[in-house]
Amino acid sequence: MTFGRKVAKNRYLLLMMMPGAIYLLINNYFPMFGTVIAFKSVNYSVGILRSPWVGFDNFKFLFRTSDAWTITRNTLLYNALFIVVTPIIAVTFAILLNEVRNRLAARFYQSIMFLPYFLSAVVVGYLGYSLLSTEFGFINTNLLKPLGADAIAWYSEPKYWPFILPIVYIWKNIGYSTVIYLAAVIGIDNEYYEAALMDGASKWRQAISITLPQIRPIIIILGLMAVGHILNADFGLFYQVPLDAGALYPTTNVIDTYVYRALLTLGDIGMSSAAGLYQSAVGFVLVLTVNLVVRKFSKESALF
Amino acid sequence: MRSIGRKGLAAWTAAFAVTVMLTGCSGKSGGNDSNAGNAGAGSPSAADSGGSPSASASGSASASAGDSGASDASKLAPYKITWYVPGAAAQKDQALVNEEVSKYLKDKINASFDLEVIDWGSWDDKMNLKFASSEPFDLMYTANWNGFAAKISQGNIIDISDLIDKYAPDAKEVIDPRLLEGSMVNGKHYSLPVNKEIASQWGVLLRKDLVDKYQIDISAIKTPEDLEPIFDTIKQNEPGVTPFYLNKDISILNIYNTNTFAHFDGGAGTLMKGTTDYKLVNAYDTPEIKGGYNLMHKWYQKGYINKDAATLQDLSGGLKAGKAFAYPEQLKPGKDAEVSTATGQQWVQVELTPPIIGTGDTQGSMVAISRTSKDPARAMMFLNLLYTDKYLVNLIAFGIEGKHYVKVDDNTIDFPPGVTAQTSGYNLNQAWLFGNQFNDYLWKNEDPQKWEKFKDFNSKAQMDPLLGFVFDPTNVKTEVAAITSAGKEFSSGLGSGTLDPEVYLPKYIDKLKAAGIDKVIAEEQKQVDAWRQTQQQ
Repeated sequence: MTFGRKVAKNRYLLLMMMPGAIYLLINNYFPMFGTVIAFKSVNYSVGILRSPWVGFDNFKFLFRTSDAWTITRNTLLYNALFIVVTPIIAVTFAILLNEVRNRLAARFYQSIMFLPYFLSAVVVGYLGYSLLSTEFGFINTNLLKPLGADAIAWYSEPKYWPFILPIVYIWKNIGYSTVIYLAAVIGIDNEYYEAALMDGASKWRQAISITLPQIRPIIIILGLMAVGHILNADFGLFYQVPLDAGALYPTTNVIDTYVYRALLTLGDIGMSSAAGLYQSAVGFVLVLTVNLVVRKFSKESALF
Repeated sequence: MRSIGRKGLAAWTAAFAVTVMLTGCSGKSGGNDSNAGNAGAGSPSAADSGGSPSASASGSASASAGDSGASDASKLAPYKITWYVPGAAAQKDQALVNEEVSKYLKDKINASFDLEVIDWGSWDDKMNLKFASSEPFDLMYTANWNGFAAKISQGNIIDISDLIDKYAPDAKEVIDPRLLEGSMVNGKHYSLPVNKEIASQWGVLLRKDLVDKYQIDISAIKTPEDLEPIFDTIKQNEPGVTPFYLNKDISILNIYNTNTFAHFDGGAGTLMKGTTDYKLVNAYDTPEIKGGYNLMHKWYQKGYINKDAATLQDLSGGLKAGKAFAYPEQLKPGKDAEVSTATGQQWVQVELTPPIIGTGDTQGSMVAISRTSKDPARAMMFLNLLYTDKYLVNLIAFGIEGKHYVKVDDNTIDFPPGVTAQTSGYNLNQAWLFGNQFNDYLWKNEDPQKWEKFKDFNSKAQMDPLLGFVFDPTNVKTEVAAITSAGKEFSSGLGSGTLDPEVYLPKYIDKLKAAGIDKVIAEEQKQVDAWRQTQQQ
C-alpha cells in the first residue's frame, strides 16, 4: 500500500490524532531548540544565537560541591522508593475498591483518596506543619506529651524525613495511581473470574493469578514512564513540606530544590537549562535501558 | 498539579527562547550595532526592527525632537509610556489613575501612560519572561537586590547617562548627589534612583505597651546585649509573649555585623574595621564572626526566641497577634509609626547601628529603561517630570484627589469619608517606588516633620567603604550558586540561634570553602581594585 493510500484509509484516525500531535509539537518539540541555552552564556541584547558558547561550564555548578553527591543520592533513592512502592499500594487499593459491591461507597472511598492529589504543595506543607510544629503541632502536644515523651523538633532533625516524605508522597499521590489501576482492573473480562470461581479459587488466588497478570502491561508502562523522570524530583514535596528548613537539607535536598536555591539570586537561564537537560538526558538513557531489559523478558509489555 | 507552575514556566521559557532567537537576529539585521544606550541612534533603529509603522514614526519623531533639544509637546508624535512596578496586588482603579496621568502628560510631552503593578510573588518570573520575549515596554523598577547587575550584564536595561544629561537635567539637580553616584555602575548610569532616605540603620522595635508597663528606659539600650535583662523580665512576667520574635530571614546578625565590620558580605568579601588597603577577607575566617552567632544561640537556649524561628516565613502574623515583644528591623525616621499602622500594635524603635550608606541603599529603589523601549528619550522626558512635578508624583503614588484621598491641609492627606485603606481603589502604599519622595504628601498619621527628618538622617549617615561598587559575578557563577545554596542551608538555623554555632559554624565554613568562596573573594578583590582605580581618577 502506498503512503498516500495509507493516509487516505486512516484519515479519520489521523485527524483524531492531530490535536494531540500538534500539542506535543508546540509544547515538547519546538522548545527543544532551547537546549542550546544550556551551552551558552546568554546575553539578551545580542539574542541567544549570538550569545557566546561556553561548552559545559553551565553544568559545573551541579557537580561542584559535596552537595552533588547528597542531591543525586536523595533524588535517586526517593524516586526509586516511590516507583516501587506506588504500584504496590495503588494496585492493592484498586483490587480492594473493585471488590466493594456498594458502588456509592466505592465512589466515596475513591474520592476521599483522590482529594489530596488536588491540594497545592503549599497547603500540604502547612497541614504537615500543624502536625509537626515543635510548640503547637498535634503530634507533639496531643500524642507525645500525654505519653510522657519529650517533644521532637521535627524541623531540625534530618533523620525523620526519609520516613515523613514518603508518607506524605503516598498520601498525596496514591489516589491518582489507584484510579488508573482501578480502570485497568475493571476492564478485565469477567469470564476469567467466573471460570476461577467454578474451580473454587479464593479471592486471593484470583488476585494473584488473574488480576495481576492482566494489568501487568499497565504497571510496566507506568513504571517505565516514572523511570524516565527519576532525576526529576517533586519540587513541591521536597521544598514546601519541609518548609525549606536548612537543617533538613541532608535528607530533603534534591536536584530540583538545589537548582532552585542555587540560582535564585543569579537567575541564570543557562545554568537552569543545563540542570534540566542533565535530568532529561539521564532519564532518557534510563528509559531506553529499562525498556531493553523489559523487552528481553516480556516482549509484548515493552514500550517500543 | 505538582509543581505545574515550575514545569509550565520551564516550558514557556524555552518556548520564548525561540522567539528571542528570532528577534535577536532581526535586531541585528536592522543594523543596530550601536550600544542601545546611545539612544539618539538606538531608538529609531530599534523602532525599525519593531516593524509597526506607528512605532517607527514615533521613534524618529522623538529623535528629531531630541536633536533640537526642546520638548515641545506638539512636535512629538503620540507615544504610550509603559511602566512595570512590583506591588502587593494590582490596583482596582489603576486604569482611572493611568487615564488621569495620560491627560496630564498630553500637554507636557504628548504621551499617554500605562502603569502596571505586578504582584511581588510573580514579579521576577514575569519580568524575565518579558525580556525573554522582547516585549516592548519603557520603564521598570529595579534594585541592587533584584538583579540590577544581572540585568545590566545581560543587556536588558540600557545605559542612560547621555539621556539623563539631554532630557532630564532638572531631575539630576534634584537627586541627592551621593545617591546618584552610588547608583552608577562602571561610571555609567543604568537607572535613576528614587530620591528618598539613602542610608540603612538597624535596630529593634519594642512593643510600646510593655515598655510602658515595665518602665523600660529605652535610651539606655546601646548594644544588643543591653536587651538581655529586658527580655528576661518579659520572659518571667508575660507568658505567651515571645521576647524576641524572628523568622528565617531576620536576625540580630544584621546589627552585630554592621557594628563589627566596615563592610560585611557573608557570601563574598568583607572589609575589616579601619581598613585602608581595601583587602577583602572571608568574614567567616575571622574570630569576630562568632560573637553574633553565640549571642543568638544563648538567647535561643534561654527561651527568648520563638522555637519555629528557623522555618517561620511570615513575621507579621505573630506581630499582629501580639505574640512578640521585640523584633529586629531596618529603621528610618518614623519606622515605628509605619509598623504601628500596619500591625495594629504600638511600637517604639531603638537604633543599634549608625545609619550607613551602602550600595544596597543607593540602589535600593530605582527606575531603569528597558532594552525593549521604543522611545527611551520620551521615557526620560517623563522621568524628568516625575522628579520635579509635585502633582504628577502624588497622582501616581496616591491616586486622584477626592476619590482616593482628600487634602487635610496643603501637604497632608487622608482617606475620603467612608473609604479605608482596605476599601480604597488605589492604595499602593509604596510611594518609595516613584521619583522624588520629598515631594510626596504625608498621611494624617505621619510625622509632619518626616521629610525634614529624612534629610537630617541622610546628612548624618556614614559611607560604606564600598559605596558605589557592584560585584559582577559572571566569572564565578558556579561558585556563587554553590555559596548561595550553602547559605540557604545554614543561615536561618544559625541566624535564629536554633543551631549550636560550636557544631554548625565550622560545618558552614567548610561548606563555603568547598563551594569556592576564596575564588569569589579573589575575583571580587580584582574588581574592587579596578573600581578604586576609576574612583581615584
